[in-house]
Amino acid sequence: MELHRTHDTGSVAESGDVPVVELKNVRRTFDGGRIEALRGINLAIHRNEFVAISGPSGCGKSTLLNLMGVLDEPDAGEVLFGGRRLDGISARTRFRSREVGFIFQAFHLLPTLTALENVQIPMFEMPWSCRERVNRARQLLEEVGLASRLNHLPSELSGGERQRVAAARSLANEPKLILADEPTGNLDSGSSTQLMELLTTLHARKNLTLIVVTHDPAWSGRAGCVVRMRDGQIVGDIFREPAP
Amino acid sequence: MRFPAFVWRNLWCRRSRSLLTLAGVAVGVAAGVSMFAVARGFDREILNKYAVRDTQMIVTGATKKRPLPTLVDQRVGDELAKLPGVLGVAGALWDVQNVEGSTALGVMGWETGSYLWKHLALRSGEQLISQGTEDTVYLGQIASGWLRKSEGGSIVFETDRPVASRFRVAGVFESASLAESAAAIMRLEILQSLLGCEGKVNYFNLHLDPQISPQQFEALREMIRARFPDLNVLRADEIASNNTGLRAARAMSIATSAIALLIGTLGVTNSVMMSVFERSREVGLLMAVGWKTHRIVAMILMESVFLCLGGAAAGSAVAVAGVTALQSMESLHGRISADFAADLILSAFLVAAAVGLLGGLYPAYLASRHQPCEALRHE
Ligand SMILES: Nc1ncnc2c1ncn2[C@@H]1O[C@H](COP(=O)(O)OP(=O)(O)OP(=O)(O)O)[C@@H](O)[C@H]1O
Ligand SMILES: [Mg+2]
Repeated sequence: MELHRTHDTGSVAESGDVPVVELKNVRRTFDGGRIEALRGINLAIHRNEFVAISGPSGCGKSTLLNLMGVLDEPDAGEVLFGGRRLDGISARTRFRSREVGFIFQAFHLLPTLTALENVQIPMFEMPWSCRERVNRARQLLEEVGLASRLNHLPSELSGGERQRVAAARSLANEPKLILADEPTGNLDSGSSTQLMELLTTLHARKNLTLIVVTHDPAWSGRAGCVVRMRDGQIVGDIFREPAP
Repeated sequence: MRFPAFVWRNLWCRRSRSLLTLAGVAVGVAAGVSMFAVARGFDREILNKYAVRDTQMIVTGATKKRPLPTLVDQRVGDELAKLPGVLGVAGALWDVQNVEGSTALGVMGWETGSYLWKHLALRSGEQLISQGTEDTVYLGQIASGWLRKSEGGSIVFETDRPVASRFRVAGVFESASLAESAAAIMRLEILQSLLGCEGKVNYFNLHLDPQISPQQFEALREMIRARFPDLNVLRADEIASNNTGLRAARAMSIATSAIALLIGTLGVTNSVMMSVFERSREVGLLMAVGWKTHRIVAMILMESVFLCLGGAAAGSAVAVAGVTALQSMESLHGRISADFAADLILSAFLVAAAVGLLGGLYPAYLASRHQPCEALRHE
């Protein structure tokens, strides 16, 4: 991929490649139109990209990420996944289950389940046996460096460890797209660096498309593509760098 | 982890609430099961009473409108005996008498020489009272225990009539029927003179030809009804369903169970609804990771069904233990005979499962209406 600078975010970075996610003139309002969270977003994200989305609080980053993760629907415009719209509840549910993994600032682990069990939660929708689920979950936790914490409850884990469990959970059904909404927002700097390293490694090793919403400039340094937002719009240029 | 284990975990982490809900269901199930068991025990009793006597048909002065049997002329029996298919007729009189000061004792008078006597299973004493003297009585096993009288002893009946009221206990008999086992049996004429109703009976026992078809049975019934419009003709097994006491007991069981069910359902709905409200974020997370709506509904329904099945198990156990304890209580001994057949317990579980489904329905519907990102924002 060549160095690429563009305003026209709908354009194709790699010719012939259909974007993993593409937003066309997307608008999203709340409170009956009084709050305009997104005001005409155009953005295309390609396979294998590592995108950081940053901007001041309330500018619509989470709203944008939720649309890309099929947790929400736009009021106007189109969100395309692999060039297709996802219509109907079952297509949307299926996409959430198999094509995308989410990491939240607040972890959202189930407090009554151990690390190993939390990672299995998304797997109930897959045609896997119980033993398969356990084995996969164990393997994922080993990959995020928690081999020795399998049977700990979230309350028995540090913030960084919790977020690594959440990262393992996001990978449970082998999605190719990972969305993280301020994944280091609740972590100290040590844990933050560790998690950033982990996600960067996973991105490279598993050929993931990784989109991270963040305030932290450290993320922007690692990302191959940085999107800045203000007041529900993308501002300035989108920087795209060649993959190393 | 398996799905039911996951559901179980949700209940387990709210143990105290789960247990309280479960206890509520258990109380309802215990009430329903014990009432039904006792009502069915009575049913079985009445059936046994006739089955052990080779009696297939009862002709009685009692009707649905007039539950207390009126007295019928004993000679009607001779006419009944002439009807086709009737092999034997035994007139009988039944009453409750005070004996030995104050104990109320069921007393039956059986027609002398009738077929009923052949089936009297004596544990001790002389066979065939029809050969005995005027002042003998047989005691059922339980009555014998109550009165602490056995063969060779004597009991005194309280009566205003100028007749002999002291009876010699000629033997003790066993009976599959509790009512009979707790009663005394004597010759019909003696009971008649004791009660002052010479020549009268309450009902007739009819022993029918074993080959008789249901059609012939009905024909016979019609014939008797036509001849004696005042009398009621019952198949032995219809006695139970016609007995007013039993009907009341059954109605009460149904009413109790219905109320218990209603309360149980409301309790379960409330408890499951609270846990859905508390877990909005959890439900949002499950949706975000791609759980289908039906899986979320299944999770909630399963929770509520688990609670109810737990309640059914605990309630059935309490019912069995409680009624068994009552049965063995000295003062109630012999008056309760509960029937805890497997199908009663099974129906308790089925009904509880249905209550669980019903109670979980609305909370499950609420949970399924969550929007993932709204629910995740929920604090
Ligand atoms: N469900 C909602 N109902 C009402 N308003 C909402 C809702 N979700 C978002 N908003 C509003 O939309 C705007 C954008 O919110 P969003 O959460 O996307 O911001 P953000 O960039 O993620 O901010 P932060 O960095 O603080 O997380 C805000 O003004 C917010 O109050
Ligand atoms: Mg946000």
